Amino acid sequence: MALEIKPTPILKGRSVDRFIRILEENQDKRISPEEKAEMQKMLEKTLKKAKL
Amino acid sequence: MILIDTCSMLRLTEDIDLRDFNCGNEDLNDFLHNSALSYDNALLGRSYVWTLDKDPRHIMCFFTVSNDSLRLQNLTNSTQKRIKSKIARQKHRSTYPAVLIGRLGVNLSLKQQRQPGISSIGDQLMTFIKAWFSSQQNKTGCRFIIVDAYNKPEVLRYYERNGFRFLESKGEESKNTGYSPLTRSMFFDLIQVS
Repeated sequence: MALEIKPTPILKGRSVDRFIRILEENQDKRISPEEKAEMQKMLEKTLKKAKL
Repeated sequence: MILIDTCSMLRLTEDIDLRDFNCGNEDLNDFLHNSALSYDNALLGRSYVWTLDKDPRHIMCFFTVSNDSLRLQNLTNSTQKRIKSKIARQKHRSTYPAVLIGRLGVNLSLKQQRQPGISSIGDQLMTFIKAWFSSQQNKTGCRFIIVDAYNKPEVLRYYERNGFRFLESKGEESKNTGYSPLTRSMFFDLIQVS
């Protein structure tokens, strides 16, 4: 029997503060346009031969 | 091995022979072999497998995804303001759209064939998932990827290496559950790759 996935926790209290801090940090962690273009190329190549 | 050059992604259907697949984890193997199709039929989770182009009987990796959300409770006004400054145009809401990776597994044979200078198949697969759900191809808004990761060092390291963060600190999680959990909830903010 496969393990049942537990529900995603509802964040409260300190966890919310922690979550917002991470979002704040992420503002400076965006990938570069070059990396983005590379990802896009990979995505297109994959989807071109994918059977969905 | 470069996943996109040697493999194709297929939506899981009953025509696909899954017998060959073994990722070394009994739960994940069992899910793919026995439950993934019924999850799909019940619209609970959609699975995708990556097969080797030169021999499609070989399944290299798979993942199962479903819609989910990330929820925040009891937000004070100041907290709501802080969130609004980070998530543009959000009204006073506490639910954010997310995609849940319900299952993800890589063929055991590939885990043992790491090539220097090339990302692991698991890392390549995660890069694809991020690209897919942050792209125009995804027809719904989706801000986060969330996962309920096995509480094992190698699994947690994998998600951390791929930019995932814990939803709750270890202390908070133990406080809520009262014991060391079997799994830990983690998330990735897709804004980073958008």
